[in-house]
This record gives sequence, C-alpha cells and structure tokens, in this order.
Amino acid sequence: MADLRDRLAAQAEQAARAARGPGAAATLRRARARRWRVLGGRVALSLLLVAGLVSLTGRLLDEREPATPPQTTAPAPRGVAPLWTTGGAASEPLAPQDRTLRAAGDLVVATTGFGGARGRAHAYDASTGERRWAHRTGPNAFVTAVGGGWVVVAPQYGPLIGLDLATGKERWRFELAEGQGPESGTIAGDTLFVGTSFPAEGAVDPPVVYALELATGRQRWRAVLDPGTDLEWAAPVVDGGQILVADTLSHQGSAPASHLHALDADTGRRRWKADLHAPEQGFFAEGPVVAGGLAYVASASGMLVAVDTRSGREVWRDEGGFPLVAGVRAGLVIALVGDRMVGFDPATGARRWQTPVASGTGEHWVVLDGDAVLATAGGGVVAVDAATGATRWRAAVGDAAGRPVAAGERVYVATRDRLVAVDRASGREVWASARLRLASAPVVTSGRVVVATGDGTLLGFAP
Amino acid sequence: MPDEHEFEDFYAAVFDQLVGQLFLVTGNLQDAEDAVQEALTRAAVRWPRLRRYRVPEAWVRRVAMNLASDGFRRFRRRLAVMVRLGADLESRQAAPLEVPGLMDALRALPVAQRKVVVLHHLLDLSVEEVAAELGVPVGTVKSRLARARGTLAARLDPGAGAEGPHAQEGAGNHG
Repeated sequence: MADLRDRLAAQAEQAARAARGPGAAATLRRARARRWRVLGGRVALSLLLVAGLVSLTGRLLDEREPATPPQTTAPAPRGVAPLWTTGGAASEPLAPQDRTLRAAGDLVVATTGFGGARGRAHAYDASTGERRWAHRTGPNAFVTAVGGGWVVVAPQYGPLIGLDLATGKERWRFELAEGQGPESGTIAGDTLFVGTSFPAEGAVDPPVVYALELATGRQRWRAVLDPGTDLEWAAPVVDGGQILVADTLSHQGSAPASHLHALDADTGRRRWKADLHAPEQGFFAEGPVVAGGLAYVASASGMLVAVDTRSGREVWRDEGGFPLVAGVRAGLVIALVGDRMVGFDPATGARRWQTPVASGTGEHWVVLDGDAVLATAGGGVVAVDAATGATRWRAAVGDAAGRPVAAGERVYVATRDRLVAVDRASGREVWASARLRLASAPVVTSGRVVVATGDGTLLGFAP
Repeated sequence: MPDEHEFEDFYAAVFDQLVGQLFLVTGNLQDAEDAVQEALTRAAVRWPRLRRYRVPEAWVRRVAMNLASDGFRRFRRRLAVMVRLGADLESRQAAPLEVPGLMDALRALPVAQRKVVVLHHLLDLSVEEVAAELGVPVGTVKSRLARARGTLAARLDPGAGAEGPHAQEGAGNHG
C-alpha cells in the first residue's frame, strides 16, 4: 500500500492527459444561457400572468369569444396567450424530459418535484386546466405508462405505482430492489411490460424486465438480461407474442456489446438476442420500429440494424451515420441519418432516396405525418415526402426542444423559448406563444395544445 | 471583461487536473469529463462570487464529486437524450492508459469509498478535511478509508492481503 499515492497520481495524470473539454469560452456561453433562461422564465411568467388577467377582464366586459387562430394570410401573431395555466398548482420543477407529460383521454398527466423529495403526479382537465387529482409519488417520478384506464408512475428508484386514471387513487405498488430504476413501460391488454436497470456508478447488475398484471400489480414473470448493461428509456415493444427490448452498456467495457432481446410475452423466456455491434454506451429514447417481420433499431455505434423478428438474424445494416428512425411509410424505412433524411428499402437496406435537411443545434426528432415525415433539424422543422424524399416545406421556427406534434391542420413545435404552430400543409407559421422556458414537447388532446414550463406550470393553448 | 478572462485562466488550470481526479472516482473518462464540465458550468454562473474563494477549485471538485455519485449515469443519459446529436455519440475518444490493476481495484469499491481514497491518498487532505469536503462525519470517513484500504490491499497486493494482519494494520493506521 506504500505506493498507493504514486499509483493514484500516475493514473490521474494519464486521465488528465486524455481529458478533452469544450473549453472556457463555450462554458461561459452555456453559463450565460442558463442565467438568461432563469431570468427569462421569471419575466415571461410575470408577463403571462398580466396578459392572462388582461384577457380575462376583457372577456368578462364584452363577452367576446376567445381569440381564434388567425388566417394564414395575415402575419403570424407572436405572444399568443394560453387559455389556461395551472398557476401554482404544480409549482415544482418538472423533470426535463418529454416523459413527464402525457395525454390520457381528456386528461393530461404530469409529474413534478424533480430533484426534490416532494414528487407528485397530477392530472389536469386538458380542456380547462382544472386539476382533477394529485398523488404523492416520491422523488424524481415520471409517467411510466398510460392506458386502459390506468396510469403507472414511478420515482427514480421505484416502486411502480398503479393509479386509477379517473380518480388518482392508488391501487397497487410493485417494489423494486435498492438501486433498481424503472424505464418506460408498455400497457398491452391487461399487462404492463416494463424494464428496469441499476444505474448507480459502477453497478453491473443485469437489467430485469417484468410483466405485471395491470389490475393488481402482481408479477406474471421476470426476465433477467445481461450483466453490465442497462435498458434504455424506450418502452418495450410488443410484437405479436414477443417483447423486444434493446440494451446498452452500463459504462465503457462493462459488456462486450449491446443486444436486441426478444422475450416470450407469456413466459418471459428469451427467444433470441441479436448483436447490435455496439461496444459503446448509447442513449436512445426510442425502441425498435417493427414492420413486415423486421425490427429496425439504431445502435450506439451509429448503425441502423434490421433484424428478423422470428429468428433474431441480422438482415442488413447501414453504417452511414447515426440514425433516428421515424418508421415505415410508403414502402420505405425512413430515418434521419446525420444531416440527411433517408428512405431505405426495407428488405435490402438500399438507399432509395436521401434529402439533406441540415443538422446543427437543437434536438433532432423525426416523426411520421401521413404521407410525409417531419424532422426538427437546422433551426426549425422540415417536412419531406415519404415516397420521393422531396422537401415539401421548411419552417425556420428555431431550435426544437422536443418532438414535433401534428394534429388537425397544424404542426406544433416547442422551441427553446416558444411554442410555435405552423400550417401542416405549407409550413407557414400560424402563431407563437410568448417567450417561455419550455420543458416538454407539446401534447394535443381535447382541443388543446398543452406544454409544461421548467418550473412545473402547465399551459393550455387553443389549437 | 476581467472576470471572464480570470475564469478562462481558471478553467485552463483546473480542467485536466480535475478530470484526472474524477476519473479515479467514476472509472471512466466520459463520466469524469461530464461531471467536471457540468461543475465548471455551474462555477461560471457563480464566478463573481466564487472567484473570491480561497480555493475555488475545491468548490468545483465538490460539485463534480456530487455529480459523480449514485444516479449520475442516469443524469448523463438524460442530458444526452435531450441533446440527441449524433455527432456527440460518434466522437468518442480513446480511454486513458490504465495503471495495471489499479482501476480494477478502484472499480471494486463503492463510489463513496473511492472518493475518500482520492481525497485522502491523492490530494493529501486530512480525515477532517475529507469529512468537511464530503459533508459526512469524521467517523464515516475513517470507516470508509479502512474498508477501502482493506479491499485495495487485497487486490493490489494479494500476498500481503492474505495475511490479514498486514491489511488490518494498514487500515487502522490512518484517521
């Protein structure tokens, strides 16, 4: 032990030599942005409050209808006020993830209390913003799954809590082991499928997938996967009689590679596992996309891998850049790969078309919208024809902070500081909110577009 | 902007060194860099106040150590999901050369024990200083050090560790 200090110093020096950071200038820019976000959020909410009061007073005086969205021929108004805000009802910080806000029929379910002990799940009437119920959950909770009249929520390290969606009454709890954290879940019929991981530093405990009876929370089966891996946030994908989940390395060198696993939906027995050729750690919020007997999955190595869902055999792979898979449309697998939207032949992986959409800053999301595909990239949203790859429109609305949502005649995008509505056919901006510190992608339900701000306030806009 | 120039100098002076120290705690370079970078960003926000500290580096190290605790992996994953930039995932650098046996031995320790080892044995902080830095009682630091040294002795020097008394003697000498 006498030379422990020398060994530690030698190792620290080796690591210091390999260290690489963005630099002081970039750090100062980030720090300035943070200061402005905090300040801007406070100012924006004060303005919103004033705007809301003015609007309410005006309506009481002359009984006018709420403002309708303007015609697309007029200049797009900015600073559009919400129809309702939840005020202080959820005035704790929201987890900065898109899985904190979910639409469920005429309700919107949100979790608050990220970073503190007072975590809660709340349900709001999407139409009016009235709070229907709140349930104490424990710290850092998120909505695990919604469906079949149920909402399942879980704090960072469990338990899984089954709530009656209509009343918020707790019906069951499913306890997890110490340090075991749940990922997103999938409700299929009367069963909840959910994966769990052990995310503590240094932990290499294998992930566990559970099938729980939705009505009681009783375990039907559990499947233990490979040591040294974690499951990703992506909810398990139900593919006929099997469940598909992809894992990733817990940390560098903790396992040889990540895999796509197929588990029997009735028993949890492993049917096959496919090598994703990824000896790195990856972080993906989406699971595999399944269509026509193939599963298409992005690997941490930046490959798009197509796997036969019956055998687990790899059918093809594309190594042309990190993919975000939108899905299958017009007979093609469509993915955002680097700075291009690409249409792949589903059987062979041949590139049928590719369209530059520009990358750059902001979050990259790609979603199908009818016969088009929408991507947030390059400081805005772009719509591309799924069959030909032709660009239909671009809307320079700013860097996206979450997935775009198409509903009715609009596409809604939460940018870093505004909620923006663009015309679904032309991409023309129709309206935008006042400046907000947004923390969620929009959800659309019951004729409202709902977003959450960083301090846990929910805002409901007319479409 | 004298404050900003001062921060730039501070960043240049401490980044690599802190990553080296945090690497011993996190066991991988990416996590160490992320923890130090996040701590330095928080320091930049508070720089007008922090610059008056006697050792602002200690503040940054404390924040980075906290980030390196349980749950940091998930925190980092969340950041990555929020950014969703493929380029970041593709530009992974090589891991640093590892001193034979040391990192395996450190990885066998709980993170809390790794922290006291780094602060006490690498940075030469006294047990009382380690307790103050981590915000835990002195007795806790002593017991973590004792357990850590027991494990490290057995892994780094198996022959001596097998004899028991040698390891126990080492464990009991400090604190």
